[in-house]
Amino acid sequence: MRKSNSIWWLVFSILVLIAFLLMYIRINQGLSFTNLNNLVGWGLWVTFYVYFLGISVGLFLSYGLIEIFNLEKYRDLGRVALYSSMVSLLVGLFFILIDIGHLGRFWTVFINRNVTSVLSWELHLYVLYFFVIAVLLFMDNLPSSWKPTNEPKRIKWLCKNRKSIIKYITYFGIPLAIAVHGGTGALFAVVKARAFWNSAIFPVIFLTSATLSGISAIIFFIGFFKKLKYSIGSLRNLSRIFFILLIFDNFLVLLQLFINYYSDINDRVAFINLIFLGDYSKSFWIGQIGIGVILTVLLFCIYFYSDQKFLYLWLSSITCLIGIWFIRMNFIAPTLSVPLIDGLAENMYRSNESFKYTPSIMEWIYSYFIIISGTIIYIFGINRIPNVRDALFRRKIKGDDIEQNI
Amino acid sequence: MEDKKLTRKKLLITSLLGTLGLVAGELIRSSNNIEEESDKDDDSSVKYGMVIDLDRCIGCNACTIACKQENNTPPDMNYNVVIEREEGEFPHPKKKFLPRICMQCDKPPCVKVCPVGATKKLNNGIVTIDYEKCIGCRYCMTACPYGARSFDFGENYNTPPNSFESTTYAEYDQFYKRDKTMPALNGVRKCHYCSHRLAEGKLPACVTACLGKARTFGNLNDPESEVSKLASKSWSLKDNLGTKPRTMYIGEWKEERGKRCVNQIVYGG
Ligand code: SF4
Ligand code: SF4
Repeated sequence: MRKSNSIWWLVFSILVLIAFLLMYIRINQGLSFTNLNNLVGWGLWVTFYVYFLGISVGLFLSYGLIEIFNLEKYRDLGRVALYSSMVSLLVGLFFILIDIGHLGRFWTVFINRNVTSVLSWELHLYVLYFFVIAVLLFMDNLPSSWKPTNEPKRIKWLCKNRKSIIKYITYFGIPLAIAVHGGTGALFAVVKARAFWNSAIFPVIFLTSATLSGISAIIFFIGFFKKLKYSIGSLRNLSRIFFILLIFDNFLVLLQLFINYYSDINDRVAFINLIFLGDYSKSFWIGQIGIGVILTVLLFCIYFYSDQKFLYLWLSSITCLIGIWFIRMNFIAPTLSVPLIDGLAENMYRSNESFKYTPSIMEWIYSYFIIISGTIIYIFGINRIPNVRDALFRRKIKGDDIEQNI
Repeated sequence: MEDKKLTRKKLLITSLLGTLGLVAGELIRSSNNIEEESDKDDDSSVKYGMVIDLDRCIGCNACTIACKQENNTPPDMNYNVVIEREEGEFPHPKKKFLPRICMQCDKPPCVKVCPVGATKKLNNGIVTIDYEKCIGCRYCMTACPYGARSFDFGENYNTPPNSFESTTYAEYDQFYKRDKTMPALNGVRKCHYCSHRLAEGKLPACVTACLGKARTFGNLNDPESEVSKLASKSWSLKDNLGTKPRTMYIGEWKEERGKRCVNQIVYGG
């Protein structure tokens, strides 16, 4: 035990040191080392922020359904989902934190509110959402029976009413989670200056992608944590939900692309051209369509028509998660690359190149660092949260056949 | 059993009431603020506006230089951009120019989206940015349909800044100096009709510098002012978006948003 503690100390010390260094550079140089400019003002970090927030909401919604419908067989998956959703939310929020120009002023969003700003509402919802997850995690880990010897009296009440409190908070949490990610979609959808975003279906796409990424993440966890037990029946159902959502999500994306293309409106067609044939076509055809749709469906079909070998479903969930990242990426930077006024970009930067956006190496380094730190914190937490640890390493599932994966 | 039911009910009602209270409180607080800030003296005698005559613009960029000098703006800070476009085929090609500044919209989307209310619409028509409040999220930049806002990345033409670059300059009636502690750094900036000059009774620098006398500036509330007369026959960029710009145009300009982008890709131009 002591040995493992000192390893964690070492790991966290290294993380903190690197974080200090990166923050030092970031504070000193501002955003000058990014490839953002006055035309494409949001890039890689905003993409990651939306992406991780989506995963968080997807995982939370999965947890919520399991809790509300009392799906005992999925309970362990639900617990892992709830915990993962919290870490994913934190990672997402970190991305938005380093993206803002004045890092030190981030807290002022809670004192200088603007009632007409979707972002202002969103930031408050994020905090509420975080607390909901934290309380649920806490409540879930309370013992169901109260032992008078070691718990204070107040805890007695909580333990006694644990189940119903969890249920009511979950009832509150589900619409909250929907508002959190629907709101993130609305952040973009309300911007009338960017024709492609300005559609009511945009928040819906965000929500569907989020739910899909949540289910994909659960399938990923089943494969990743080899000791996580699950029943064949529950996996079969999960795979079905996964596939239906995959089709539905891509149907919505297709609809959005089609309607924009069909409109013949210059800004909209310009966007379609940028991703179909222009600067972002690789990211669209290889990332979004190649990996996210074709490879994912192919792997799923292999899984389905072979003797349901889990490995293929697992790989399919990974390619799907990559594909969703590309959807986010392709929907954000290319929209900003469409000139607002014909000739504006050329006259601002004296070059045609300026409306292309490719993330800089430093942007990637910061992103990797945040993701790696999130993963380490995630692994650290697993061993410290009793129910998550039990779900991943010990507990058995009643009923249905139990199978250890891969 | 009875006891439990009561507890649930209590919990539900308390949390519902709490949420409602928070929302209602916030709405009341904010609506009070809005009234206080924009409607208070809406009968103010001055409402600034500008009309730019495109037929008089010769594309000399004197306005751009004057603006850069007046506001001491760093590289890629585009308060004023003169967009050039070639129209027509040989032997009758034509150069067209469109000077673009902040439109000081009457319904400014940038003000709506700012999460901290750092950007505001003043009663005199000018849309301001509070550099001390702005968190640099760049939401306003994505929301402005005219690309009128620029982020201050902290770059200078010279490192370290030369004597001109490090002089003190004024924006929104405040004085600033370009160094590491400069509040505008890492925030968003834009044209403000040279509000500090207006306070001294002067015209915006671009209007004074314009060679072709293409820019007319003044009080739109005064029906006898030149700018009001010109405004009555003017048009606005992207009128359909409902932003109600205070910077207006006369003269011909074909709006071809995104067309170059479309053509360039489709025809490899
Ligand atoms: S032109 Fe852009 S920055 Fe200026 S007021 Fe209108 S929306 Fe805001
Ligand atoms: S960049 Fe500044 S002014 Fe613009 S929306 Fe964000 S906080 Fe407001």
